[in-house]
Amino acid sequence: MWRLITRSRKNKGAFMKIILTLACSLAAFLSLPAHADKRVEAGKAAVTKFNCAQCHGADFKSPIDPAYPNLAGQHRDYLQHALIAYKRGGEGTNGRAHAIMVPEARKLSNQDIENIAAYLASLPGTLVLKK
Amino acid sequence: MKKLFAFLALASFANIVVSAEVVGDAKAAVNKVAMCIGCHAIPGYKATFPEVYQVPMIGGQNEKYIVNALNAYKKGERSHPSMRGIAESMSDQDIADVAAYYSQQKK
Repeated sequence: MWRLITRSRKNKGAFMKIILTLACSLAAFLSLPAHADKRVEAGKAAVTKFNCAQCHGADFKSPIDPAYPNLAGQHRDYLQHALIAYKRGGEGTNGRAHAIMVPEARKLSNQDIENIAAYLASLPGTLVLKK
Repeated sequence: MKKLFAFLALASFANIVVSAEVVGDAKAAVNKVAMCIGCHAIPGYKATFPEVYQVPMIGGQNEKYIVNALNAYKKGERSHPSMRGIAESMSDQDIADVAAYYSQQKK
Protein backbone atom coordinates (compact mmCIF):
# COMPACT_ATOMS: atom_id res chain seq x y z
CA MET A 1 0.00 0.00 0.00
CA TRP A 2 2.71 2.46 1.05
CA ARG A 3 4.83 1.53 -1.92
CA LEU A 4 1.84 2.18 -4.13
CA ILE A 5 1.41 5.62 -2.61
CA THR A 6 5.11 6.61 -2.78
CA ARG A 7 5.39 5.32 -6.28
CA SER A 8 2.32 7.16 -7.36
CA ARG A 9 3.69 10.38 -5.86
CA LYS A 10 5.59 10.72 -9.05
CA ASN A 11 2.24 10.73 -10.67
CA LYS A 12 0.21 13.33 -8.79
CA GLY A 13 -3.06 12.36 -10.47
CA ALA A 14 -2.91 8.72 -9.35
CA PHE A 15 -1.95 9.76 -5.81
CA MET A 16 -4.93 12.07 -5.57
CA LYS A 17 -7.14 9.30 -6.87
CA ILE A 18 -6.06 6.98 -4.05
CA ILE A 19 -6.59 9.67 -1.41
CA LEU A 20 -10.01 10.50 -2.83
CA THR A 21 -11.06 6.84 -2.86
CA LEU A 22 -9.99 6.44 0.75
CA ALA A 23 -11.80 9.62 1.77
CA CYS A 24 -14.98 8.57 -0.02
CA SER A 25 -15.06 5.09 1.51
CA LEU A 26 -14.47 6.60 4.97
CA ALA A 27 -17.30 9.09 4.40
CA ALA A 28 -19.64 6.31 3.23
CA PHE A 29 -18.71 4.20 6.25
CA LEU A 30 -19.40 7.06 8.65
CA SER A 31 -22.63 8.25 7.05
CA LEU A 32 -24.36 4.81 7.04
CA PRO A 33 -25.12 4.54 10.78
CA ALA A 34 -25.83 8.27 10.96
CA HIS A 35 -28.44 7.88 8.23
CA ALA A 36 -30.05 4.93 10.05
CA ASP A 37 -30.20 6.91 13.32
CA LYS A 38 -31.91 9.78 11.56
CA ARG A 39 -34.68 7.48 10.32
CA VAL A 40 -35.12 5.96 13.79
CA GLU A 41 -35.41 9.43 15.34
CA ALA A 42 -37.86 10.59 12.65
CA GLY A 43 -39.82 7.34 13.03
CA LYS A 44 -40.17 7.90 16.76
CA ALA A 45 -41.66 11.32 16.05
CA ALA A 46 -43.94 9.84 13.37
CA VAL A 47 -45.45 7.11 15.59
CA THR A 48 -46.30 9.83 18.12
CA LYS A 49 -47.82 12.03 15.43
CA PHE A 50 -49.96 9.21 14.00
CA ASN A 51 -50.95 7.71 17.40
CA CYS A 52 -49.67 4.20 16.56
CA ALA A 53 -49.16 3.32 20.24
CA GLN A 54 -52.87 3.90 20.95
CA CYS A 55 -53.55 0.42 19.53
CA HIS A 56 -50.12 -1.20 19.28
CA GLY A 57 -48.97 -0.36 22.84
CA ALA A 58 -46.28 2.09 24.03
CA ASP A 59 -43.56 -0.57 23.71
CA PHE A 60 -45.08 -1.91 20.44
CA LYS A 61 -45.21 -5.43 21.86
CA SER A 62 -48.28 -5.16 24.08
CA PRO A 63 -51.20 -4.17 21.82
CA ILE A 64 -54.59 -3.32 23.32
CA ASP A 65 -56.15 -6.30 21.50
CA PRO A 66 -54.43 -9.71 21.06
CA ALA A 67 -55.69 -9.70 17.49
CA TYR A 68 -53.16 -6.92 16.75
CA PRO A 69 -49.55 -7.76 15.95
CA ASN A 70 -46.45 -7.57 18.04
CA LEU A 71 -44.23 -5.14 16.07
CA ALA A 72 -41.15 -4.37 18.19
CA GLY A 73 -37.96 -5.72 16.66
CA GLN A 74 -39.67 -7.08 13.51
CA HIS A 75 -37.60 -6.89 10.28
CA ARG A 76 -37.40 -3.31 9.04
CA ASP A 77 -38.00 -4.18 5.39
CA TYR A 78 -41.03 -6.37 6.22
CA LEU A 79 -42.65 -3.59 8.29
CA GLN A 80 -42.07 -1.19 5.42
CA HIS A 81 -43.65 -3.65 2.97
CA ALA A 82 -46.66 -4.27 5.25
CA LEU A 83 -47.42 -0.54 5.51
CA ILE A 84 -47.07 -0.11 1.75
CA ALA A 85 -49.39 -3.12 1.24
CA TYR A 86 -52.04 -1.52 3.51
CA LYS A 87 -51.61 1.74 1.62
CA ARG A 88 -52.31 -0.09 -1.65
CA GLY A 89 -55.44 -1.65 -0.13
CA GLY A 90 -57.18 -4.90 -1.08
CA GLU A 91 -57.31 -4.26 -4.83
CA GLY A 92 -53.63 -3.57 -5.36
CA THR A 93 -50.90 -6.04 -6.33
CA ASN A 94 -49.87 -7.75 -3.11
CA GLY A 95 -52.05 -5.37 -1.15
CA ARG A 96 -53.91 -5.76 2.13
CA ALA A 97 -57.52 -4.88 2.84
CA HIS A 98 -58.10 -3.80 6.44
CA ALA A 99 -60.80 -1.60 7.96
CA ILE A 100 -58.39 0.28 10.24
CA MET A 101 -54.91 -0.06 8.74
CA VAL A 102 -55.77 0.98 5.16
CA PRO A 103 -57.00 4.48 6.13
CA GLU A 104 -54.19 4.81 8.69
CA ALA A 105 -51.46 3.84 6.20
CA ARG A 106 -52.87 6.20 3.58
CA LYS A 107 -52.09 9.14 5.91
CA LEU A 108 -48.39 8.25 5.71
CA SER A 109 -45.89 9.46 3.13
CA ASN A 110 -43.38 6.92 1.83
CA GLN A 111 -40.74 8.69 3.93
CA ASP A 112 -42.96 8.33 7.05
CA ILE A 113 -43.26 4.59 6.29
CA GLU A 114 -39.50 4.21 5.93
CA ASN A 115 -38.90 6.07 9.20
CA ILE A 116 -41.60 4.21 11.18
CA ALA A 117 -40.28 0.84 9.96
CA ALA A 118 -36.74 1.78 11.05
CA TYR A 119 -37.95 2.90 14.47
CA LEU A 120 -40.09 -0.20 15.16
CA ALA A 121 -37.29 -2.52 14.00
CA SER A 122 -34.88 -0.78 16.41
CA LEU A 123 -37.03 -1.54 19.47
CA PRO A 124 -36.25 -4.49 21.76
CA GLY A 125 -38.74 -7.24 20.95
CA THR A 126 -39.79 -10.79 21.73
CA LEU A 127 -40.18 -12.06 18.15
CA VAL A 128 -38.02 -15.02 17.14
CA LEU A 129 -36.98 -16.87 14.02
CA LYS A 130 -37.16 -20.60 14.77
CA LYS A 131 -38.29 -23.83 13.20
CA MET B 1 -90.20 -13.85 7.00
CA LYS B 2 -90.30 -14.98 10.63
CA LYS B 3 -89.06 -18.38 9.58
CA LEU B 4 -86.19 -16.76 7.68
CA PHE B 5 -85.17 -14.75 10.75
CA ALA B 6 -85.30 -17.85 12.91
CA PHE B 7 -83.19 -19.69 10.37
CA LEU B 8 -80.64 -16.85 10.24
CA ALA B 9 -80.48 -16.66 14.02
CA LEU B 10 -79.93 -20.41 14.21
CA ALA B 11 -77.35 -20.32 11.45
CA SER B 12 -75.36 -17.57 13.15
CA PHE B 13 -75.56 -19.41 16.46
CA ALA B 14 -74.27 -22.59 14.81
CA ASN B 15 -71.47 -20.53 13.31
CA ILE B 16 -70.40 -19.26 16.72
CA VAL B 17 -70.45 -22.78 18.12
CA VAL B 18 -68.32 -24.07 15.25
CA SER B 19 -65.73 -21.28 15.53
CA ALA B 20 -65.58 -21.70 19.30
CA GLU B 21 -64.72 -25.37 18.86
CA VAL B 22 -61.50 -24.68 17.01
CA VAL B 23 -58.78 -24.65 19.64
CA GLY B 24 -55.19 -24.53 18.55
CA ASP B 25 -52.90 -27.40 19.53
CA ALA B 26 -49.20 -26.56 19.18
CA LYS B 27 -48.23 -30.26 19.32
CA ALA B 28 -50.51 -31.08 16.41
CA ALA B 29 -48.80 -28.35 14.39
CA VAL B 30 -45.45 -30.16 14.39
CA ASN B 31 -46.57 -32.10 11.32
CA LYS B 32 -48.12 -29.03 9.71
CA VAL B 33 -45.35 -26.44 9.74
CA ALA B 34 -43.32 -28.05 6.93
CA MET B 35 -44.71 -25.47 4.49
CA CYS B 36 -43.90 -22.59 6.87
CA ILE B 37 -40.28 -23.38 7.66
CA GLY B 38 -39.21 -23.36 4.00
CA CYS B 39 -39.30 -19.56 4.22
CA HIS B 40 -39.94 -18.46 7.81
CA ALA B 41 -37.15 -20.51 9.42
CA ILE B 42 -34.41 -19.37 7.06
CA PRO B 43 -32.52 -16.32 8.38
CA GLY B 44 -32.54 -13.55 5.79
CA TYR B 45 -35.01 -15.31 3.45
CA LYS B 46 -36.58 -12.74 1.16
CA ALA B 47 -39.89 -12.36 -0.62
CA THR B 48 -39.66 -10.41 -3.86
CA PHE B 49 -43.14 -9.39 -4.86
CA PRO B 50 -43.36 -6.52 -5.64
CA GLU B 51 -40.98 -5.15 -3.01
CA VAL B 52 -37.96 -7.14 -1.87
CA TYR B 53 -38.16 -7.75 1.87
CA GLN B 54 -37.32 -10.33 4.50
CA VAL B 55 -40.28 -12.53 5.35
CA PRO B 56 -41.56 -11.67 8.84
CA MET B 57 -40.46 -13.28 12.07
CA ILE B 58 -43.56 -15.15 13.23
CA GLY B 59 -42.20 -16.82 16.38
CA GLY B 60 -43.63 -15.10 19.46
CA GLN B 61 -46.30 -13.33 17.40
CA ASN B 62 -49.79 -13.05 18.93
CA GLU B 63 -51.88 -16.18 18.34
CA LYS B 64 -55.04 -14.36 17.33
CA TYR B 65 -53.13 -12.11 14.95
CA ILE B 66 -51.65 -15.15 13.17
CA VAL B 67 -55.14 -16.68 12.84
CA ASN B 68 -56.49 -13.39 11.43
CA ALA B 69 -53.57 -12.96 9.03
CA LEU B 70 -53.90 -16.52 7.65
CA ASN B 71 -57.66 -16.09 7.26
CA ALA B 72 -57.09 -12.77 5.48
CA TYR B 73 -54.79 -14.57 3.00
CA LYS B 74 -57.34 -17.38 2.64
CA LYS B 75 -60.16 -14.95 1.85
CA GLY B 76 -57.97 -12.88 -0.45
CA GLU B 77 -58.07 -9.77 1.74
CA ARG B 78 -54.29 -10.04 1.68
CA SER B 79 -53.26 -10.77 -1.87
CA HIS B 80 -49.69 -12.08 -1.49
CA PRO B 81 -49.71 -14.95 -4.03
CA SER B 82 -47.68 -17.63 -2.22
CA MET B 83 -49.26 -16.94 1.18
CA ARG B 84 -52.71 -17.08 -0.44
CA GLY B 85 -51.91 -20.47 -1.93
CA ILE B 86 -50.70 -21.84 1.38
CA ALA B 87 -53.53 -20.42 3.48
CA GLU B 88 -56.14 -21.74 1.03
CA SER B 89 -54.80 -25.24 1.62
CA MET B 90 -55.25 -24.93 5.42
CA SER B 91 -58.35 -25.89 7.40
CA ASP B 92 -59.53 -23.79 10.35
CA GLN B 93 -57.96 -26.41 12.62
CA ASP B 94 -54.62 -26.25 10.74
CA ILE B 95 -54.62 -22.45 11.11
CA ALA B 96 -55.39 -22.65 14.83
CA ASP B 97 -52.67 -25.27 15.42
CA VAL B 98 -49.99 -23.35 13.51
CA ALA B 99 -50.93 -20.11 15.30
CA ALA B 100 -50.62 -21.85 18.68
CA TYR B 101 -47.26 -23.33 17.66
CA TYR B 102 -45.64 -20.07 16.59
CA SER B 103 -47.15 -17.88 19.31
CA GLN B 104 -45.61 -20.16 21.96
CA GLN B 105 -42.04 -19.80 20.65
CA LYS B 106 -39.80 -17.77 22.93
CA LYS B 107 -36.40 -16.12 22.69
